[in-house]
Amino acid sequence: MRYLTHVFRRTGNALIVLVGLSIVIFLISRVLPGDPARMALGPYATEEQVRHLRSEMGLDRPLVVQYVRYVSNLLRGDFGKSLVSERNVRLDLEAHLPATAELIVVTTLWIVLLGIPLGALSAVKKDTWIDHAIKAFTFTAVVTPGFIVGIAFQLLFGYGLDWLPVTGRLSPGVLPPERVTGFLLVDSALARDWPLFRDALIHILLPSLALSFAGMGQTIRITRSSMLDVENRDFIQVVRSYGVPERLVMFKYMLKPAFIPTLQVIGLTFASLFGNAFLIENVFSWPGMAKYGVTALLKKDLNALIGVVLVIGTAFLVVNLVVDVLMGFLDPRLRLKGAAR
Amino acid sequence: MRPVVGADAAPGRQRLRLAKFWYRYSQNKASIVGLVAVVLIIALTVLAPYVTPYPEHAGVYVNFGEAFQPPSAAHWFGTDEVGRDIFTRTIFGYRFSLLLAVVVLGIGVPLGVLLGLVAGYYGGWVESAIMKVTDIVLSLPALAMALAVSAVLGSDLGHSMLALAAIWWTWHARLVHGMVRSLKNEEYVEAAKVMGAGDAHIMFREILPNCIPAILVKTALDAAFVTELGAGLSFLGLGVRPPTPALGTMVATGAGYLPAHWWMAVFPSLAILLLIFGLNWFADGLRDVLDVDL
Amino acid sequence: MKRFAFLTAALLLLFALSGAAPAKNVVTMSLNQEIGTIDPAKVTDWTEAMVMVNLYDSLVTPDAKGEIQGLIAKSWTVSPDGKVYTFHLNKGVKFHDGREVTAEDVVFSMERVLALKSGYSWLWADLVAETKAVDKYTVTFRLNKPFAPFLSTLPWLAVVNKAAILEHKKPGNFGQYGDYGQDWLLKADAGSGAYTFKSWTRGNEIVFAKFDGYFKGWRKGAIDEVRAKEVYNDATIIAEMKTGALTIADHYRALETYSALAKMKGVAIKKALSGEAFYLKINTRKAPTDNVHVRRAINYAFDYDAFLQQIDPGAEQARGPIPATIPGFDPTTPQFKRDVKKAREELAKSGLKPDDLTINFCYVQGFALEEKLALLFQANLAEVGLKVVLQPETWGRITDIAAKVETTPHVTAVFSAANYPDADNYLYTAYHSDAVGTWMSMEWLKNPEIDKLIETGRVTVDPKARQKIYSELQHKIVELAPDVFIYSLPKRYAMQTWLKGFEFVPVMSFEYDFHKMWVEK
Repeated sequence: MRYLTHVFRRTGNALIVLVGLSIVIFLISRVLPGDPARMALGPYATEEQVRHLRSEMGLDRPLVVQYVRYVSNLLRGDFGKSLVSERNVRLDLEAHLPATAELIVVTTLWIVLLGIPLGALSAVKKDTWIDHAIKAFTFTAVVTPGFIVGIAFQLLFGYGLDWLPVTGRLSPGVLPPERVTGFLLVDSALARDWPLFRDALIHILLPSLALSFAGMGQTIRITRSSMLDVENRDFIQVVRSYGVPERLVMFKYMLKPAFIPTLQVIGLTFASLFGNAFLIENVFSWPGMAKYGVTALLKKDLNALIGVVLVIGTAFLVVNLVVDVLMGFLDPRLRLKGAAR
Repeated sequence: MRPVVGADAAPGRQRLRLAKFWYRYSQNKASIVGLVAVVLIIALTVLAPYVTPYPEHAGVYVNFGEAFQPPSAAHWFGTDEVGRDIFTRTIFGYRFSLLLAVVVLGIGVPLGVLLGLVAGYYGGWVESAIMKVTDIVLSLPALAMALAVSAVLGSDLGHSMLALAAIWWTWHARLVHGMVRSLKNEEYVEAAKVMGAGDAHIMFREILPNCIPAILVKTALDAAFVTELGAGLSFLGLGVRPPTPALGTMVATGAGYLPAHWWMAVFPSLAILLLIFGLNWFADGLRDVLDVDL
Repeated sequence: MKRFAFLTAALLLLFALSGAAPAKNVVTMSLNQEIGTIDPAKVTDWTEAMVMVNLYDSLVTPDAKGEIQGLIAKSWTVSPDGKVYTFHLNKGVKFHDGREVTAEDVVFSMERVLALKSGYSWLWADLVAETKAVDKYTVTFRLNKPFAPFLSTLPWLAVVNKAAILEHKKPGNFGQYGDYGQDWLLKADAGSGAYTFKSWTRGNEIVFAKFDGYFKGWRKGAIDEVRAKEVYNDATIIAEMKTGALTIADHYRALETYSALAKMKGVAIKKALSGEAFYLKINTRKAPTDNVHVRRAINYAFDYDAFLQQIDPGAEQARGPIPATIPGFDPTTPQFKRDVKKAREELAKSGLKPDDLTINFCYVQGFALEEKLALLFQANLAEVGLKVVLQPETWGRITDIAAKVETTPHVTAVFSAANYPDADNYLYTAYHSDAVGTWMSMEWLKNPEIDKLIETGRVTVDPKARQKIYSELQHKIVELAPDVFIYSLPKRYAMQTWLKGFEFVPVMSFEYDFHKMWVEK
C-alpha cells in the first residue's frame, strides 16, 4: 500500500513538472524574436497574407487562449503545423525522434555493457595498475566535453585510420530499410538485409561511443564504489568464510546489490545524454532531434520547437519516474525516505 | 556535527592550520598539477598582451597570405583561416572561459544557496514552489535552455552568462536544500531557537557556515562544468562576438577544416581540456582539505 | 562451325560484361538542406525548386541566358496595353497518369497557388485579375496593371493535374476544392514533368523515375533514375565522389571541397556566375551612414581584391545592383575600387568627428564566408578611421530587425537570389520606398527619382525603352552608394565526367533539369 502511494506521489510530481515545463516553453516560444507568420511566408508576402496566416495560426489571440488551445490540441496528439515542413509536427517528430532515440539507446547499451564490467573489474583489482588505468580513463571520460571526444574520434578512426565513416546514419545513396520501428539497426535486421545492417552499425559506432563517455565514466565510478562498499560489509566476509567461490561472491553477492545505485546513476545521465546529443549530432551530422530543434529555433518554427522540448522533457521525466519506482521496488528504504518527504 | 568556523585569533595557530591544509592538499600529486595548471592559466590570461607573440591577432586583424599555416617556430599552434596566430588566440580565448565561470558562479551560487536555504528552512509551500521550479529547470538540458535564451535575446557574452546563471542556481539550491533539511533538526539549531534567535540569524549564522565547505567544493567542480558548457555554447556559435576569440568557437571553426588543417581544432581542444582537468584536480584537492563528501 | 562457336562465345562474353538486362542510368546528387515540401505551390528554397523543376512543367521556362522559352506553351501574345497575355498550349502533353494537359489545368494551377497563399503566390497575388480557359488549348491571364516582368515569373507556375487533385482532395477550407489536395501532394506528384515521383524519405533522400510518356521525348543515354540525398559533411562528399556513389556535388560546398574534387580523376568542376548577388546593404537613414560621404568612404575602403582573390577566388567584382547574368544589366555601370586616400577624403567631407564614426556590421552567424568577410571589412575600415562592431545574428533575427529603421544595422551582408530573371527583381524589392521593411531592402532608400524610374520600368513593355530606364537607374544607384556591391556568387558544381549536358541557368534550381542531361560511359 505504501509502495502504491509512493508511485502515485511520484507520478503526480512528474505531471506537475510537465505542466510547468509546457508553460515555460510556451512562454519562451512566444517571446522569441521574429514574426513566425512573416518568416513562414518570406519577405515578399503582402501584409494581407501575413495577417491571414497569423489569424489562421491563432497568433492574434490572447496568450492564455493560445495556451489552452495548444494544450487541448496536444492532448489529441496534435502538435500543430510546422512552418518549415508544412505538416503536423507530430509527423516530423516521428521522423527525427528514432534517429536520436536509436543513438541514445545504443549509447546506453555501451554505458551498461562497458561501464558496469569495467567498474566491477576496477573494484576487484583494487589498487592494481588495472584499477589505476580504469580510474584514469574514468576521470578523462567524465570531464572531457562530448564534442571534443567526437572530434578526436573523427580524427583518429575516421580520417586517420579510415576505419569508420564520420557522418550520417547511412552511406549516401543507400536507401533506409522499410520502416517498422524507425531504428535502422532493428529494421534492417528485420528485413534480413545484412549489408544494410552493417552500414547502419558502422555509422552509429563513433557517435554513440563519443556520447557514452560521460555516462560510462559515472557508471564505472558508482559501480566500483558501491561494490567496495558492499565488500566491507560483514555478510560478504561470512559468505567468503563459508568457502563460496570468489567468482560467485563477486557476481551474486557483490555486483547485485551494487546494481541499485548504478541504475539510479544511469537514469540520471539520461538528461545529460539528450543535452550532449545536441553537440554530438552537430559534430556527426546525425539527422536527429537536435538538428531539427536547432533548425526550428533559427527559423522560429514555434510548434516544432515546443514539440522538441516537450518530447525531451517528457522522456527525461518518464525515465526518472521509472527509475524512481523501480528503486522503490528494489530498495524499500528509499520508498520510506520518499514518503517522509 | 559542530560548527567548523570559529575565529582563530592567534596568527601562529592560523599559520599552523594553513600548513596543515597544504599538507593535506599536497598528498595528491594530481591536485598539485591541477593547482599549477589553474594558476598558470590565470596568470597567462592576465598577462596575455605581454606573453603572446602576436597580441594584435586577438583583435581586428586579417592576413590572408598567412592563412592555414601548420604549426611552426613562428606559429606554435599554426594559423587559422584568416591568418591569425592560434597560440595567441588560445591564450586570449581563456579570458572568455574564465570570465564566464566567474560571472555565472558569482550570480548562480549565491542565488541558489539563498533559495536552497529558504526552501529547506521554511518548508511548506515555499519549499514546494522553489523545488518544483528547480525540477522544471533541471528537467531541461542546460545547453538547450541556454540556446533558447540566447535566441530570445540575441547571441552575446552577457546573454550567455545570464542564460547559464539562470540555470545554475538550481544545482546549488538542491544541494543546500538537502543539507538544510538534515541540519535544521540538529541540537544547536534547536538551542539557538530556544534562545530566541531570529530566522535570519539561524539560517545565516548557524546553518550556512556548516554548508560552506560543500558549497566551495561544488563551486570548484562547477567551474570546470561551466567551462565545459561555455565551450559547448561557443561551439554552437553563441557567446562572444568575433573577432574576440573563444575556445569553443575556435574548435567549431577548426572542425570544418578537418582533417587537412587539423591544428585549428586540436590545439584549442587541448586548451579546453587543460583547464577542465586542472579545475577538477584542484577541486579534488580542496575536497581532501575540507573533508567534504560530494 | 568454329566461327559459330567463336561468335557464341563473344556474345556470351558481351552479355556477361553488360549484365543480362541493360543497366539503368542512375544519377545521385547531394543536397545541403532538407526538402521541406514537394507541393509545387509551396516551393521556397532551392531543394524544393529542384523537385518542382523535375516533376512539373510550367507554361514557359528560362534558358541558359535567362531568356524565356516555351514549354507547355507553344506560343504567346501580349495585348498592346500590356495587360492581357494569351498562351497557346502544345497538344498531346501528358500528365503522369496519362491525362492530357489542358487550359483548364493551367487555370486551376493559378487559382490553387493564389488560394494557398504560400510559395511564390506573392508574385501574382496583387497582379493577376483573372485566368481564363478560352478553349481546350488556349489560356489568358488578365492583369490589374501592365507588368513587364510577368512572363519571367511564369516558370514558377507549375501546372498541376486538376482531375487527379480533385480525386484525392480531403475536407478542407476551400469549399468545393476541399484541402486543394495539399495532403496528397506531400505524398505524390500531379505533374507532367520529365520525371515522376518514386519515394521520399524526409530528412534523407528523394527518388524520381523517368516518365516514359514525356511529351518532349528522350535521347539516348537518358537518366532513368535520379536520387537526391542530404549530405551535410564535405568530407563525405569528397569520399563519395571518389567512389562514384555520388554523381553531382551541389553548389553549396566549401571552396576547399571543390579544389579537392578538381584534382580527382573523372570529376569535372563546372563554374558559372549566378544571379545570386552578394551585397553589403547600408542603412541610408541612420547616422552616420545616412551621410553619402560615409557610404562612399566605406565603398572606397573595402578591399575587393582581397575578397575576390583570397576569400572566394574566381569571381569578378559586381557593377552596380544588377548581376551581369541578368537581362537588363548595363556593362558601363561604374565601380568603386579600393582607394584608402579617397576614403579618407570622403570621411573628411562628411564633416563628422571620429567619435561618430562607429558602425555595426551584421552577418549570418556561423556562415564561414560571411565571417571571413566580416573580419576583412572590420580591418579595412579600421585603416581609414571607421570603427566596426561585428554583430553576428541568426537569419531569423535578421529578418526581424530589418522591419524598422532603428533596428536595422548600419551594414548588413545579404545574399539575394533572382526569383525571376529580370532587372526589376533586383530593383523594386531593394530600392523602391514602398518595399522597405524586409531583409531585401535594408538600405531604406527613399528617393522619389529612383521610385519614379522603377515604376516606369515596370510598365514599359518595349525592351529598348526599358533597357534605357534600367541603365539610368544603375548609374544613379551606384552614385548614391547604398550598398557595397561585392559580386554575384560564382556557383560551382562537381560532377562525374560521364554525365553530359549540364547547363547553368540563372534562375534558382533550373540548372538541375535532368531531362537535359544524359549519360555517356
